[in-house]
Amino acid sequence: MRKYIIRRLLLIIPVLLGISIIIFSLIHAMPGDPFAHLIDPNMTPEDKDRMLESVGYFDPLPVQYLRWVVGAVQGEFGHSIRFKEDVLKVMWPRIQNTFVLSLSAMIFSTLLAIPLGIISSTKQYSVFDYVATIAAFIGLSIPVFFFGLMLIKFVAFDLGLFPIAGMQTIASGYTGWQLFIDKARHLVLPTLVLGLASTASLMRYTRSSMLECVKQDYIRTARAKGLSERVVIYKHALRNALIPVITVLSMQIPRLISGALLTETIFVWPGLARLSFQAIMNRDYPMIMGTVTVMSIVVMLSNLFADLMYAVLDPRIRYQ
Amino acid sequence: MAKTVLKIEGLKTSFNTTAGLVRAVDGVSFSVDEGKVLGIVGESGCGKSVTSLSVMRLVPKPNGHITDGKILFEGKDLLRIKESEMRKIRGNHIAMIFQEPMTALNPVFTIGNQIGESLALHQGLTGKKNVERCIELLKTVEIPRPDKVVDEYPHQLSGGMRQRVMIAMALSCDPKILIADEPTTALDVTIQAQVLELMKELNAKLGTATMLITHDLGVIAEMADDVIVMYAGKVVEEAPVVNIFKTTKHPYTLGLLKSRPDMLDEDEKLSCIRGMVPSPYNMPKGCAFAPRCDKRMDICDEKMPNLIEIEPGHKVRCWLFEEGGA
Repeated sequence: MRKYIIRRLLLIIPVLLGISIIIFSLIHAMPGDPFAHLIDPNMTPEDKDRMLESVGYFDPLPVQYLRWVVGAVQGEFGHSIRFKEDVLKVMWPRIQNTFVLSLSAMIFSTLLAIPLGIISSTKQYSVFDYVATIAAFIGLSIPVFFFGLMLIKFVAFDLGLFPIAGMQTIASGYTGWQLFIDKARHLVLPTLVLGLASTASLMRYTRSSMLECVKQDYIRTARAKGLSERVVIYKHALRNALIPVITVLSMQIPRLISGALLTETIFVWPGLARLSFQAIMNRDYPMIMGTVTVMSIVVMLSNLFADLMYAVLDPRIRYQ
Repeated sequence: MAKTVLKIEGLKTSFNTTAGLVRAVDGVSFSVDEGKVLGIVGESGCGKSVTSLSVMRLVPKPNGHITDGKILFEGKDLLRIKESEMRKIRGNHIAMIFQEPMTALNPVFTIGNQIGESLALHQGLTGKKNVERCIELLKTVEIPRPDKVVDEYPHQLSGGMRQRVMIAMALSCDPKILIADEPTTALDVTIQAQVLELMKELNAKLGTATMLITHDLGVIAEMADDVIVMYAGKVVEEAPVVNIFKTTKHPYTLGLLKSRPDMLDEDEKLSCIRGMVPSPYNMPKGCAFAPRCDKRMDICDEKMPNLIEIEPGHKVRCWLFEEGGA
């Protein structure tokens, strides 16, 4: 098992190299340059060229790439052209912010979706099931920005239950518990918005997976043993039903991180997705490479997480 | 005379389907005595499995319903007790072995866990005692290296081994009745023989009343004391096993016996029952077997015959033997 994990972790390196080559070529194929929209009308084209030269813009692409890789291997992701600061230094607080937001959205959606899916499946075609189904479709089809704005209007502004935006109250002077509660209050609405779509789809997957499992012969065997319906569903069916659900869950982790752009934008949440978007708009090449690398690592780690979860849940995978 | 453990009277089970109501079991009565093996034979879809699931009250919901009849277990009507009481009987006093050992065990739990579950539930055995009893049970069903198998998962065992595990599981709480629904159908012939041998031994040793459901007359000849033959949800013949084979009465039973390959002389063609089982949506008005019967008479299309006793212990449902017929 440990060998397997180490092998999988080592496998990340070549994949990352491949991704970085592709992304590097693609972003340099984009028209525009890092200073395109910083142009001062008084600046001569020569001045601009000099500035571009200073960030290595005119070097051949392979040279630029090698320079980046050599740095990256040493943990040196270069200087952001826009922020005039070390890429890692700019990214680090953003990574933390996004991590907090994504994690809470994931916990929220998992804790809500799986129980709802189970109840929905055990009470198939009941009023509860229909309500949950309709709610899931609304959740899936409602645009994130719209839902976010609605929450801001009704919950935050009209009712004043939660803050409108940001990560904490500015200049509040809170410390300790007060600060924690303040931050948690700021987290509620973005979590709801970010977790909405995943909750809906996760619930549907849980429901259909459970419905599939309760039809199996081993469920009949479990019932024939005289086990109560609770044990039959929550022990025998759920353990099997969770295997496909894990796939969906692990696919949602990268989506929660890179897909947080709209949520981060609406709630003025200084996260990685927004940083990555800004970097792309600014053609801030080192910054783009930095954010892409982080997101690729997240995708691969979540795949590894899924594979490990399979092994935990399903002995047939463990022993192969 | 041996004590009757299970008595079924006029059992009716039906299913609501999109195409209409299907009467899967239509007024079936029989009884099983202590230490005896009752064989239930019939083609696919004749209601054998539904009968056994009805006894367990495990007819698939929400479409299946037991609409009428009595299932008396030691004098208590199982159709009138609460679900919670039924759960105490299931797996404890009445246990079941299913057809497909490949899918009937839960793939994500160990053998020990799955057998131990009934032990913990019905006998309160936990911890080390539970594991010991599991190993003992695996030994009873002649599984090699039981102390290892107890920690293994179903996918690590062969089909025959899994069926042995199913038997061990069913026997775990010393049930009074064992229902075996086609226990050997999914197995190779050699493994079939082994499993049947084992079941026979255990039946002799433990004296458990057994309901053996099969479509294999060879298995019946090997195992059963008494036989009922079912056709289209009804019992058409009921007799001790010798009579079924020697003094066969019902044309359907006769047809079944004739279509066995071992009845052949070398050049003889294998005979078969012509036609198909009638559609459950469109049952004939009279005898359900009439359209396929070689000895059909006019009355057969008009009225369903009754199940009448023509010799002590030998009952048949056919106009050939009932007054008012030919």
